[in-house]
Amino acid sequence: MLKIIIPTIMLMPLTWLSKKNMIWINTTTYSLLISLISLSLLNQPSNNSLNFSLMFFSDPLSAPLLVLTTWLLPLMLMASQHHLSKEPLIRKKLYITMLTMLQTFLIMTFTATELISFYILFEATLVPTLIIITRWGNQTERLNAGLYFLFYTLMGSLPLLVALISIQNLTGSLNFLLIQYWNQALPNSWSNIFLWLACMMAFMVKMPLYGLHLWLPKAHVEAPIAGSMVLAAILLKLGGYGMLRITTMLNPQTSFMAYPFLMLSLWGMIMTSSICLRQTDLKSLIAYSSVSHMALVIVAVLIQTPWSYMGATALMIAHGLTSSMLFCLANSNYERTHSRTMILARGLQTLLPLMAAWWLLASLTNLALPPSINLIGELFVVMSSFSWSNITIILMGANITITALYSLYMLITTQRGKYTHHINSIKPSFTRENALMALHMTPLLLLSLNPKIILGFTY
Amino acid sequence: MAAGLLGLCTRRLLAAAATRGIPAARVRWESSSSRAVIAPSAVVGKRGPEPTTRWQEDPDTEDENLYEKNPDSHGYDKDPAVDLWNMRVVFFFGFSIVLVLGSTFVAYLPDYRWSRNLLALAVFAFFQGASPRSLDHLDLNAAQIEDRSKRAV
Repeated sequence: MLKIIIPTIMLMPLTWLSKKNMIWINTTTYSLLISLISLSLLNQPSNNSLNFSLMFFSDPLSAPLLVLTTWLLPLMLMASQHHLSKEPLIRKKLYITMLTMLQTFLIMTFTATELISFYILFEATLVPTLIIITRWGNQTERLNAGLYFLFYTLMGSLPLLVALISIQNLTGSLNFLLIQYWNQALPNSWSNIFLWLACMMAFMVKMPLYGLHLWLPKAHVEAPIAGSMVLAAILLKLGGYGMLRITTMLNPQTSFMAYPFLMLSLWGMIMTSSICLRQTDLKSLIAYSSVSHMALVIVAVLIQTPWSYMGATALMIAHGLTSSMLFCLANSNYERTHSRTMILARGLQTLLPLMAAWWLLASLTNLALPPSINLIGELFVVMSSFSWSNITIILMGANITITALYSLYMLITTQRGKYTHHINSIKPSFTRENALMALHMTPLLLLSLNPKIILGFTY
Repeated sequence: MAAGLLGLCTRRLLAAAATRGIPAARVRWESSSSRAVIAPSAVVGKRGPEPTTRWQEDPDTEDENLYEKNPDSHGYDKDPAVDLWNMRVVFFFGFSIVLVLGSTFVAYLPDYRWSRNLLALAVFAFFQGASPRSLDHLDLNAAQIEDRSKRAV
């Protein structure tokens, strides 16, 4: 793991010591090479996990998430180059340093063996994200957004710290590799019910669960492009990853404690998808779409069957790439019109036809068109939830329909129709933007050919 | 009563007009059935008109058109040389190195489920008393991938 962590940490001195005109070139190059190295983790020969040391390991669940994390850094750097072009050099370097710090914490979080170490790094990811949102966001609402983001997550995760320390006392170890062999069921008692809640709430807030999701639209909308990308693509998946890990220790309470959260998620996916149909702000639409997709992941994780776990992992990777791409597309609109209102930048297909092609592909993957991995993830989740309870098919089916509706609504509003008079002087698409979209879409399409690497440890 | 209600509506209209800064209609209405009088609110004019809602979230930017000075701009930098090299680096490392080599690596990853099943078969045969030599001639087709459809969904 050090072959990934140390180069990532060294991106920081690289940024500060690079010449003015080389900072973006250097950081983009080396972050792409780091993502190449991280692909080696997909080679999982053991049934169990790939153990690097006492502190780091990777298994078929964390490896794809890690590859996604390392892949996303160069994309974030490319996406940020334009809006930072007018900033002073020191601020550009600080921004890249924040992104690199966040990347380092995320890599270590996904590969941590020890749950306390996982917790510390999970919390540590909040700091650079908060700085990115509050310092480089565009509107004054970014301060409120930062507050919501920080305090929602902290309120959820402080009970987790208490719970982890209590479990450490009980079991003697919080190492993932050992805990999976801990076959002792938690006795049924009120304190263990609260323990279950304490363990799960942090990840529920992070996912986010409908009801605890208010921080997400604010944070996603107010964050600059790199902040939105990393929030949507990776930080939400931290919640899913945490839930997948911690539920191994929380039986048998999960079988009855999960019900209220399952109901909230099943209902919440319909609600948030419906809210998307009423959004005027493009980034807000994409943010609510993330809540809806993550609700599917929550349902999958709480059902706890092999297929649902496969669906959850596939959906996390697929949504990470799709959502990040949608934010990049929204940002390409924002950089031209300086407005996030959808109807103000409509009819773009006539003016920017290649960008319209990317919009089409992103919308189609968002609505889980076959044979994309989005469909594979959603299908596995729908099938396993049907097997759990037949009635869920009604809600799942409604969600799939409404997802298709708002994805097509977003596509048609931004691309079709007559363009407005104030945008006929917008600049053509840059190679940078087209490359960014291609670098999102190509892995997504390639994974459709070989999805087994993202199906997690129950494949 | 209808007149009273009408008065109520007018009062609400005038109040709404006052808070929204729209110049209130200069009407004075006196009820014929009661002593109710509706007159423009005293606060009209004290609150200034609402500013026009801005349609841009980010209105004060000065857009620099990168294509103006460099028609071949790729969108990375103002300096054409840096812009060109940045584009080359992204395409070379992003597509040619990572995507091509990475997808080749992933495509050639062995099928560990098959090899684990083969190993399980060999171990089983060995403990059943098969001679070590016969393990060289194991039926590879017998190393089937477990029938997942029989597992719990």
